Amino acid sequence: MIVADDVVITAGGRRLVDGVSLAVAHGEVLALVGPNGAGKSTLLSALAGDRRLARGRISLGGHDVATLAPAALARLRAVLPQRAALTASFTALEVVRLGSDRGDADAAHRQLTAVALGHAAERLYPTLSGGEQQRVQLARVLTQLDERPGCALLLDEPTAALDPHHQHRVLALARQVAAAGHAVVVVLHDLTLALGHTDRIALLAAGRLLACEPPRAITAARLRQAFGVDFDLISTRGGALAAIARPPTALEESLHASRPDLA
Amino acid sequence: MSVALAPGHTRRPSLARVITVLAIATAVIAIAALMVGAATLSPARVLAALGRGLGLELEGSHRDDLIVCTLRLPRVVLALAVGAALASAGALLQGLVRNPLADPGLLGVTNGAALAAVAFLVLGDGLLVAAPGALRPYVLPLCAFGGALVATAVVVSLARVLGRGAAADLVLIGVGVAALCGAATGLLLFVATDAQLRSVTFWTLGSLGGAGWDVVVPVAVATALAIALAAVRASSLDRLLLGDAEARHLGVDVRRLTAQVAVVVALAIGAAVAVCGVIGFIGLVVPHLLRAWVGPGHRALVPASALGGAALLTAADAVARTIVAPAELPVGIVTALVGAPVLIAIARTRSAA
Repeated sequence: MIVADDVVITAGGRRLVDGVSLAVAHGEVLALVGPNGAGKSTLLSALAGDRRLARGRISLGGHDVATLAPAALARLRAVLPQRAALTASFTALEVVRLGSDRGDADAAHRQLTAVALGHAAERLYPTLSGGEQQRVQLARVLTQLDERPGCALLLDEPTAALDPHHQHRVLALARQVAAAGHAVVVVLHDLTLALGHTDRIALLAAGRLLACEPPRAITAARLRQAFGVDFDLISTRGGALAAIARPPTALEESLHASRPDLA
Repeated sequence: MSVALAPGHTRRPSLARVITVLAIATAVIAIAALMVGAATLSPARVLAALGRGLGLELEGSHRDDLIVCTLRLPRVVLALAVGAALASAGALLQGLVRNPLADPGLLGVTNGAALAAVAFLVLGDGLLVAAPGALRPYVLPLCAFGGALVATAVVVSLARVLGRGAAADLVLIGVGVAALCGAATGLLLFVATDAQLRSVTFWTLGSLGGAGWDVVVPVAVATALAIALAAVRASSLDRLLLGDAEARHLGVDVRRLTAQVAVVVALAIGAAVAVCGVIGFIGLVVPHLLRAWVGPGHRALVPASALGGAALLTAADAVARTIVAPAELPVGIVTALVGAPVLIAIARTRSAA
């Protein structure tokens, strides 16, 4: 269980996250959605225990993250960063093995296969494409969870570098992780992916939580409030939901540029 | 070399194989280094003299014993120890700052040692007189060692106080402290006499001429510490290559590990610099070359670098003391002559890749 209670995070006098409270149960996938600078990644890093809170409290499985040492935190949650800095010439398998304290090669192979890179185990990480690197990192993160059930999985834009096939595949993996008893929080930019693959959507704007509801309960008005753009919410033939942003009119655009508070 | 399976595919050699190959190469180079000098000895005579030194009953002359065991062996062992210290410290530091071109000088170690040594050479007559007689030969190395540790302590504590104690903070502050030490050294050189300048120059180019069993021990101990740290914390060091945040997410106490590596590196480099001055390129080139063979993992890279550095510096020193015999080149000149082209070649293959 991930619980954030009245969390405020400031930087340089600005409130990046402003009084957010939410709870994610084991078995649940929650999407963090919102415009650029809404505080999604900041909130996610706070859930990971990386941020000092100006106010409020974050707990994982009942433990206050502010009081935990790195080793104890690592047993409660795994984090997929937005962009990994790795440039060392590890093989894909070696990178995945770093996720496990025992360096278990079989478990690492299993997770590489889960992200459809079983054939690339001995490829050097720097020679992989951006999307492949992202999937190797995901396999590493899954290896960390593999060892301990009932954890939190925190994913920061895991689909950003991926093609549509792998976007769906990765989010299906997130669903499997939740089904295995973990709580999953995922930052997404693609609203349609969020609507189709998560149990609840937390809509953030300017550091505040506007809504935290199941996909079906998200309204176009709410999305407009968060993004300042009109949306069409469509039910596809298969019953899936899709959100399509309408191009803003010239008038709205100039208004948004001059007075973002009114737009 | 690594076996190419298909483009971009790699199989690592086993640790046992790496260590065996490098240990044999190092032993061969060490024996070759014991053979060369004013009198050239055959490998058999060198081995026989070494055997007699160990107390075995073997045929041979006292003259061989004197040349091999008394004259050449301390120097070769010092070259092995210093080379191992420089290269293993370089491998650790390059991993810590995630930059394969990082040099041990980055933490201010070398410049701190140089400042203290130059300060002693220029201003230290009083200190020498005050020191008890038995300690006098060690005053210069002790000053250099102290300078190395103080400079690194300043860098590490400033990085923790001003920054977050991360590798990036270490690099920025290390460069700053190194520049300050360099400026102070320059100021001292400005007021130095010609005779003082000459001994300073000799010291900054590096020499293994001061070899003796008493100075080998601290270098060997510091090197053993560096290898032990790499063995014990190998997976944490590997995880640090993923990035500071990623390592922390996997449970690594990044601040503590950073401080541990900095201290061990300062001890190894400080001990080496104190004994034989500034010897460049070993700490930079050896880990870099070996990474292509054994991979970036610290469990193999650090001990392999120690062996590679030992072999390379021993070979360089053998060249330095024979090429212009009976005079002797500072070994730093030889390592730079070998190291610089290798470095440029590396830069070329990196940009081609």
